[in-house]
Amino acid sequence: MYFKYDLKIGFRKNIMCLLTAAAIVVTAGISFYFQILDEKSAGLELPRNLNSMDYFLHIFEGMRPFDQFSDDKFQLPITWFLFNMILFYFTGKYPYSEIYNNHGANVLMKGGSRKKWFLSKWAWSIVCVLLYYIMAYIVVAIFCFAVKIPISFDIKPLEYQNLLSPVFKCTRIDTIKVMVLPIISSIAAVSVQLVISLVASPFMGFMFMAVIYISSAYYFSPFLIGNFSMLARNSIFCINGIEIIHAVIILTVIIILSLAAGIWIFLRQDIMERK
Amino acid sequence: MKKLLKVECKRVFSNKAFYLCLGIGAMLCVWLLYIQIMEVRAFQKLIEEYGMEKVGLYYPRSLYNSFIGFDYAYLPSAILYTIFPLLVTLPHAISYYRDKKSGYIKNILIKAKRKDYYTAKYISVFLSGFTSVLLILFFSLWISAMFFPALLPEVTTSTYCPYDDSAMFVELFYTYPLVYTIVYIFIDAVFLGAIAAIALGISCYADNILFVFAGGMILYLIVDYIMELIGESNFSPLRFLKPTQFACSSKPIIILAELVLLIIMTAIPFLWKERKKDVF
Repeated sequence: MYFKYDLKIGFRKNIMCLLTAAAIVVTAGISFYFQILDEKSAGLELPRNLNSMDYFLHIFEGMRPFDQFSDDKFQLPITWFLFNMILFYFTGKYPYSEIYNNHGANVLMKGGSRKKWFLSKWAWSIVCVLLYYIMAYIVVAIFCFAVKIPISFDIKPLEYQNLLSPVFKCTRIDTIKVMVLPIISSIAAVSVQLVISLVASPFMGFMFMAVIYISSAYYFSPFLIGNFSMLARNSIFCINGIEIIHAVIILTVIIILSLAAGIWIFLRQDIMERK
Repeated sequence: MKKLLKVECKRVFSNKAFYLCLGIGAMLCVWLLYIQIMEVRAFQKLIEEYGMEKVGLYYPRSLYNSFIGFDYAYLPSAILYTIFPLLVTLPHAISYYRDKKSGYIKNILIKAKRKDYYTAKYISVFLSGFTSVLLILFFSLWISAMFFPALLPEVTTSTYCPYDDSAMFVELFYTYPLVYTIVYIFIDAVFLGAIAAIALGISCYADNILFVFAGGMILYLIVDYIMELIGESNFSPLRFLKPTQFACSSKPIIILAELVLLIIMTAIPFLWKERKKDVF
């Protein structure tokens, strides 16, 4: 009962977030397209023609590990950061929007189970993440189709300036891994956000995720979730990068722990007091 | 109007969220100071161990590359300047949304003029953002001044930012760094005060509290994203609000124009359109 309700109510006012994700992907794609055109017209030759996978990698790359002891100055990878912040805004907006101030408490009572209520909100968040990424991936494909860039799922080496290039020969399995890892990473991040929002407030949950993601860009550490969603830090593209199997294990543990913590806290929370 | 403004200001400064905002800011400043002190200690140990001849000559850390606005290497400054739009909405920016939702606005508008209430609200929200930024940045300046000498910035050491010739007020920074710092703190406070007022503009249409809270930050990031895409980072507040002016060389006219635009964008819907809406 809860999940059906969440799907119906939760998406009603959140279409804008999906459109924003599409807009980010399209604008990043256009910018990359013109950057390549400019470089070509300046006489720089690419080792091979770009395909849709190169566009995908460019949009979701994030940044290479930052060395705080080097002379480089830290600069946040804004495309990656904005893409994730819009997602956190999307998933932070709805889950607790009714329970403490509207008729949400009545909905909770009608369903009769706090555990199911929390699981339903979590499931709704997962659906949001999936929709968000599916939208982004489809838009990348549509954009490439529109500008006549060959659609391909092969990750091919490309030694050219700062573009992402695999450090070993990739297979289709690697393509799947590269496309799935940001999604699992976002699911874990959203699960953490759900718990923080429950303990403090949606605002605190959003701010916490912002801080975690800025820290992730700065520190290359498996304890900071954002690192997993940056393709540039993946072992496929970075020597000593994050191994996908390690990432999946850590993210699964984070998801399970957040879920357990969320249920435990929500079962003991005094909703009337919070109201 | 004066009475209402006094009431609103009292609400700002007696609000726990105001102190939470200051606490988060202060924590980041202290964290940065701790990292910097540890770095200086490690360097001193190296000197003690190997002697000055082997370690090489160095220009000591100064207040003008330790203050949070001038730091370009460590995480706390990156966090603070990125989440500033969130922090400034914390003290009072959502109060209008709450007044509307709780019905408190009806009680006020029975006794006071609409124009006075909306103007007082706008000024108080601006002041809440302005004051919190001012206090956080002056706190950082103060604690850094307790540990680091106010040595003049030396451009040849490559440890000071701004270092670019085209940066705004760069001459002032290398001649009167304290004046530059104070001027920049005020620029940040005014601009972020105006960013706090975005929440009021959003409150006119929003149906969700997170939208009111995070709207300013999302806008701030979107502007940076667009400016970076079109190669005009000078127009991005995320870049020019940092006194280091790293990867941007803004101009006072750009900052002024954006400030005016921001005030118009938030003041028109709030002071003109929202005022005419029926709250009863």
